[in-house]
Amino acid sequence: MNQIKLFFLSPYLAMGVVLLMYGVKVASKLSIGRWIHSPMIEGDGWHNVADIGEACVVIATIWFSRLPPSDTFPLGRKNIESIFSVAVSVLLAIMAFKISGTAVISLWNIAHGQVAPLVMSPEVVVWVMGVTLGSALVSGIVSTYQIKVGKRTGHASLVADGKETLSDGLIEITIFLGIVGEYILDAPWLEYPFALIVSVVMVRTAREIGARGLAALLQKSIGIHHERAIKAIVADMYGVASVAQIKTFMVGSAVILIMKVLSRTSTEMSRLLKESMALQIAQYLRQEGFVDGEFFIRFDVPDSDAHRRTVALVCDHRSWRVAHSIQEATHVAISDIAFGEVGRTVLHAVAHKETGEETEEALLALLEEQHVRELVLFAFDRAWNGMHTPSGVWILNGGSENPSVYGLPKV
Amino acid sequence: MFQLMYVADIYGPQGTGPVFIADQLRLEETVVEKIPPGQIEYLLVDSRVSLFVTPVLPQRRDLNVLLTREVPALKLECGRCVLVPFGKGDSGVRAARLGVRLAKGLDLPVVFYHTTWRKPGVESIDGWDHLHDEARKVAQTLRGIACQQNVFFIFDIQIQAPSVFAGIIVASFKRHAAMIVMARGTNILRGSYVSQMAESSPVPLLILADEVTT
Repeated sequence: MNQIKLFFLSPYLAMGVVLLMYGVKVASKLSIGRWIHSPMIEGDGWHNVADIGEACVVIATIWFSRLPPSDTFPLGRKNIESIFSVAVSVLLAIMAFKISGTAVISLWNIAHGQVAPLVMSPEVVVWVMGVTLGSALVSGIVSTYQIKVGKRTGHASLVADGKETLSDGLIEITIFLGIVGEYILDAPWLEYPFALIVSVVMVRTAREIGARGLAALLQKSIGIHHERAIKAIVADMYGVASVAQIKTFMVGSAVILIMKVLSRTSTEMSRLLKESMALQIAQYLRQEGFVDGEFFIRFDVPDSDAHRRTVALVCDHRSWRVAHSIQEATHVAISDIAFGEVGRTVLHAVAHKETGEETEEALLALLEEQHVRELVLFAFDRAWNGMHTPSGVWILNGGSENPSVYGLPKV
Repeated sequence: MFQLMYVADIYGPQGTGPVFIADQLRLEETVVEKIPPGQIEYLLVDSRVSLFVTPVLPQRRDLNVLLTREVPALKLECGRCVLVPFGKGDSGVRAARLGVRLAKGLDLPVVFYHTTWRKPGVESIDGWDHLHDEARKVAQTLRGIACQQNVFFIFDIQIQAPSVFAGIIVASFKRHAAMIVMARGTNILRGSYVSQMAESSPVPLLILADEVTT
């Protein structure tokens, strides 16, 4: 079953069907047009010959975009599809302006009584109506198939061509309405308002295709809300400190994601994290309608917040506790702190004099000399908590008298 | 579930995580006691009713330990689960007994994870078709435990993960595990999966106390 599904979702098969459709259209329109001497049908047949050429360009574009990345094209060649999309959008816009211009002029002429009636015998009219309506129906069916395959396989050129085929179908319906209006309803103006509506639809389609193609060519972000969502997915994973950088853009239909993740995990764990992130991001992008993607995720360590911390200690009969005040301290343990963990720690004896003031002076001088950021005491006057010494050292209440709580080994 | 919870009393940002996590796990009338991390090595602990929450793994293997590393809080929001890996032995069943009760208390589903060797000649991509008979029996027991506790559960049977360690880690991220619950196998002489996980898992890991054997 999957094999059959895959077969029908092949972009080459879709383009084969398009070529077949145009082949049948060209053969029928040219032969019927010549047979019934209808320049309109014959002209449309020649237009379809040009469409065959366009279909061949689409096939070449798909083939080219599918070439694997190389040293010279590290992200592949998928942007060729975006170039094609922009080209199709320009052609559609030109066609839309031409149709709307003709419709406005024709409506003006009708309003001023300058009607140029269609010249067809009743037998010919039936053929013309049959060919245009049949052609429009086939265009509708084939374009739907083309767009579906294009979206599923991520070929923007196929989607753009499908939308162009759909516009062809709408033009054919306009022609059909024109004939019905003139020969059955006696209302030759009928096709022109419809032509105006069709031209608006075409301009909107052109804008949509062109904007998407240009966004890819100019490497526009896939959207701030998508980037925020991806950041949230990643930041929600255990082991991730934060997402430092995220950049997204499209190459063809593929989302390119460049992300820098801050984490302290080991190299092996980073690899597994990366794998898990890629799975979750891919799942999110699929839900949001993106079909393809390539992720470049690199890991870096977060800021270590390296600093020095001092714990004021009291040595009392060979037992150690955290000092209640600076004056009481007999020693200080100065630790190098990085990532919140205690590293190298050095014990300094504080010159203990008769009066506390001298101890304080000596200790503050030591802290300044050692570039200490915080000084930890226990149960000192609460008003001091968070205050600074004159040299700018934070004074903090540690909440425990036990030196091991501060990562200090037994002295 | 846990009548007594010891929390590693560490000053600074490292210490705030375990305290907060212990509070998140205070499901019943639990007494929480802060102790310096080194002190746990000398404490008389009844592992049936107690848990030690710590960012660093203690030496002791006779107590239940929740290893939090740098995690500031357990992620317990909707969509999370408790992951219980299992193998062919009894460690998965022991882990499940606690893990399922914990999941029930936290109102989370349980994912029973297993990675299996590919059976030669079996083409199926369904992990169950490659499951060893003994692992199948364990799965049956796990199902019973979860049903008894009325806890929602699913099985995640992966065919040939690159390694058991990698399989558990990736599954824990894929399934959005709030924590992993594991027990050490009884006959492991060296290199248990629990030790491998304890070494570097960024996901909080609850390691059950070893069973006392005579």
